[in-house]
Amino acid sequence: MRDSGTFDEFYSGSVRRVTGLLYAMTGSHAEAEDCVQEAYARAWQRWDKVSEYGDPEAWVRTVAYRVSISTWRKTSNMRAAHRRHGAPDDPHGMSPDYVAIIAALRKIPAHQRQAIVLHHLVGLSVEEIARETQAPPGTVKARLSRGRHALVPYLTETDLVPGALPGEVSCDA
Amino acid sequence: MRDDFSSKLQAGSAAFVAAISPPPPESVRSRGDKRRRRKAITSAVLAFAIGAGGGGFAFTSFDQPRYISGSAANSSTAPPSQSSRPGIAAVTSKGALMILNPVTGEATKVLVASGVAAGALAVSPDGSAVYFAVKLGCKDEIESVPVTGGRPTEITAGVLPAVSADGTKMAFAREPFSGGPAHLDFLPGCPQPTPASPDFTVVVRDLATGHETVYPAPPGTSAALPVAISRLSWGPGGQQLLVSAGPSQDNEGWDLAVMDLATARYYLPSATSAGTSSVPLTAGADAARGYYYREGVFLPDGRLFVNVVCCSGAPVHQTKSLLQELSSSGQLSRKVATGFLDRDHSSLDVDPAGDWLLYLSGPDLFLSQAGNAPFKLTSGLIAAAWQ
Repeated sequence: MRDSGTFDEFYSGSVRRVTGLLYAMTGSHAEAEDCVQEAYARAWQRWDKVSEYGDPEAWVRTVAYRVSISTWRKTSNMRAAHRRHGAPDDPHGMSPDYVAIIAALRKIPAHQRQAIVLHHLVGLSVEEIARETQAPPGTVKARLSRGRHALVPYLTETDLVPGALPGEVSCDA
Repeated sequence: MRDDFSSKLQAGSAAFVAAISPPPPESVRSRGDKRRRRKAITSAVLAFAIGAGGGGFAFTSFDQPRYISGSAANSSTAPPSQSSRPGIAAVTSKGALMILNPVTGEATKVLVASGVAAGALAVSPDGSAVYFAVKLGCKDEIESVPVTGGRPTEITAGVLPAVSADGTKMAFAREPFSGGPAHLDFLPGCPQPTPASPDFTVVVRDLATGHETVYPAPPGTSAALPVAISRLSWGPGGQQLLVSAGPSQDNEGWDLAVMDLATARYYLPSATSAGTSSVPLTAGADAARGYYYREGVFLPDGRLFVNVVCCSGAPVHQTKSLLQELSSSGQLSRKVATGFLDRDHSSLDVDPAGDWLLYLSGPDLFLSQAGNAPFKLTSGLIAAAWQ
């Protein structure tokens, strides 16, 4: 039996965090919101099971990310976003550093971006990212390392470039 | 450095999420409920389509859905039985023996992880064990394993196991050399046939005592051109065995023979011995035009479920592949489907109640219930049988 009370509490407590994460991953406000709503709708669809997971927010994060990388979904989202919002996202009001980071993240491969965001924004460890993305820890380390190197050309201010992780595999290795 | 990147990313994200206004949870739940309803409707439609024999679009059903009991002259318009779909044992292209969910096609249990050979599977009449063949170097071996799982038990050397309806006997084929149950593709490094080699034999083994009765090819069959055996099937009374044989060479020498085990001496017809006779081809698919039986099995009522193919001879060029139900004298009872021309159709089988047919079209598993158009259940298989 699905308990709407626990779902509403979960949704209200996590939806902003997940939307922020998806925005960092997609660089699009409208797309992030749409993917997050879809993920929460799917969570409610099977809330009797999802609510028993140790970390339902991780489930929603993963589903939202997968929704965002679906090509078909992406195309329909862009159309829907265009209908709803007209012009592309307006970064007005955001700090220049954040705008630069988001713009740079959009230019690196999706898996690297996902690893960078989960680590630097959500604060997950390599092992936690490995569990969430179902990738080996070595692969996660490589994605973080390569993502960091890939960001360098797009972040002109050196203090914005993320540093290496302890024990991280260098992309030059 | 990393901390600065993280802190600026986190600070920027915090400012961003503070400015957004997510929709209320009620609207998200409403969206989820709509998805749930859509899914339920889709599932219901799919279940209806599969149950009604949909999905058989890849095949042409010759007849309107109907069930014919007995010969064509004694045709009945009785409605199809609504008996439940039995389980399925199958071998994947990677040699794993599995039990499949007969509705979804998904594997529910892996009985043997690898090494199971292509060809026939047999399930004991009580459904408790699966008999199968494995390749051990240049040797073939028949083993059995409980359907509940466990260590396989070695039975004897051979291929193509077929268990009688009472579960007391197992018929199988012994090959003169290894290379597959039906084909003459000799394995590298294994003994090659010579005129002095023994020929294929059909063996009937008493499962309790281990006593074996051997039925060789008729005299005069050259060991250098052996007639391969591709399938064995027990008749409903346990006194007849249907032998799918061929080719001998150049896509020639195909035969579908009925052995009367009480009188037969050979697994193919012979001028010197009664007891084994070929199933005649019907007028529309006669041997003179190059048609031949590629494979056949007994139905529980004594009729046959066969794959008729045209044309024999080299080079191999199929122009017809028909799946049919025949009377024991080869008269057409019902056309089941038209097979694809670029595929072999094998693993023909019928469930003990006679309601459900299955066969492989290449790697695809097709099912048909009581005269309905066949539909594809799953793919990636090299053998299958009703459980």
